[in-house]
Amino acid sequence: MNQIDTVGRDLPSCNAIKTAGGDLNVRELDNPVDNQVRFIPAHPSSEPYLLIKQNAELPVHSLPPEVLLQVICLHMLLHCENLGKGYYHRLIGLSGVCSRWYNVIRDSPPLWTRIHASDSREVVETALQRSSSHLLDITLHPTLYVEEVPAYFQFFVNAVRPHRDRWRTMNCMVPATWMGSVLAALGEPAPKLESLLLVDGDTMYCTRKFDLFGGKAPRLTSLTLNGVSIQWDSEIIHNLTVLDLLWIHFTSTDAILQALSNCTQLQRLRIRHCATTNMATPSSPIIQLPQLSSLYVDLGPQAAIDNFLDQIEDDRDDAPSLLLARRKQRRGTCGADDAGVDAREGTLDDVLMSNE
Amino acid sequence: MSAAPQVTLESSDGEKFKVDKEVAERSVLIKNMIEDVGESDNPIPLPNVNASVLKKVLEYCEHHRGDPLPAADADPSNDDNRKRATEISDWDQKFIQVDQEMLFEIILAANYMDIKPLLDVGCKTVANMIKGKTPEEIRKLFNIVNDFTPEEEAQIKKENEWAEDR
Repeated sequence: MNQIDTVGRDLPSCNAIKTAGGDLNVRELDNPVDNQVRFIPAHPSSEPYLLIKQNAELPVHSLPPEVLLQVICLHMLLHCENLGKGYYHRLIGLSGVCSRWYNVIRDSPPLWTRIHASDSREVVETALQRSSSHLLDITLHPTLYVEEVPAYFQFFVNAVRPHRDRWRTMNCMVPATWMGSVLAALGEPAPKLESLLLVDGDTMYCTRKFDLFGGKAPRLTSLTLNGVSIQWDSEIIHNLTVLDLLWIHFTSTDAILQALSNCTQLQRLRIRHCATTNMATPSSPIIQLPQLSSLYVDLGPQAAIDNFLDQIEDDRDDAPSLLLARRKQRRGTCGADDAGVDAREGTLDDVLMSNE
Repeated sequence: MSAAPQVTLESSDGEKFKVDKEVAERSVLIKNMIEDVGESDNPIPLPNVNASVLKKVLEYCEHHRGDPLPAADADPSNDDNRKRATEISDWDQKFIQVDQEMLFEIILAANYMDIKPLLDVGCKTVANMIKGKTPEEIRKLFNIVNDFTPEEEAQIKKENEWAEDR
């Protein structure tokens, strides 16, 4: 085996180790940050070289790298999914088993797509880099709640912003005072974002409207807004299949109806702890939600809920149970029109069941 | 009533196994081979699987002969797909209770023969084996030696410190 230049070189790749017994190959690193200390022992007679060869002959290392990766992915998925910031601690811990595990873990972008604001700056940078071109799942939960956006959080937002074309899911739970500046700093567009959860835990019955990604998130199918309201004429809601609204104050039921009239693909709608100032009138729009299969509505008083339900036209036999019950009531089967459908009981079971 | 069509498989060590075609076709590799070559009395060679492993694999295929086959276009990077059938059934758990060498040979055979559900069972079993274990305990479990140089150890230690940082 030839003498190997140790600068800018990597440990032998998984494939190379698998074929131990022949020459151990090396490959160029495409990752400048990672080439600081990675090198291969130059002499086949050296102890680390012999140890690598010894490891390569073990049953566990008869597995090709893609299968070892599958084992590690499953381990992380089944046993480490809820670890939060402990996720990368565990992953990096596993990479310390041996050089083969280190290489498989380091060179597998799907393992590095979780980007958490609670992780250290180095971990965030490492994960952004090692995730390569894979789509990212971003969590913006601060570790510390203070009045102003702290520097570490600003760093995090600045770090993920250039990767906007890789955002797949984003969970953002920040104090009310941060929300505007965080959303503004994230900027626009979010071309591959599929799921967005925005939580302002401080605000009840939010009226302030935010602009989300300039309305440019064409793949967004799931949106949860908790204590956060948005520009309801935004295109961002046009392709939604799931919409969950909590603690939002609408100026009128018409405003909700106008927004929903653009959500023709909606399958699941939950309106919880919301309120409306002006109920629908005979001149208000009647909307159709032809894909809707699950519905839960809490707009405060029963009259407001019934008033809202009456604006949804749905003749399907398999319409959400809430609409079926209201339709039945309106036909007088259950008595007076204003008897009301208790949308806050029973129907949530439908929602929960449909979630399972 | 006519008998179910059968095929003959030949292991790397020359042993022949006559099995129902339906059972053999749990393996996508064999299914494709049969489709490509057509009906034949010639044994189908499996040069990467020895007789003792093939016997175990066929035991699995026989038990699961009526199960629905996984979708060919399922996205393996999708968490929902990967989480699918998180639990290993009682029968599968008992089936996979073998020594480590056999376990990894079964996984290799499942990978080679393209039997995704068996590969899943094997990988999940190994994933469960390392649950809660430190790197040192994992090394001990699989007889792995620490082959890092001091410089590499230092790099991993540094990465560990990053992960614990805040």
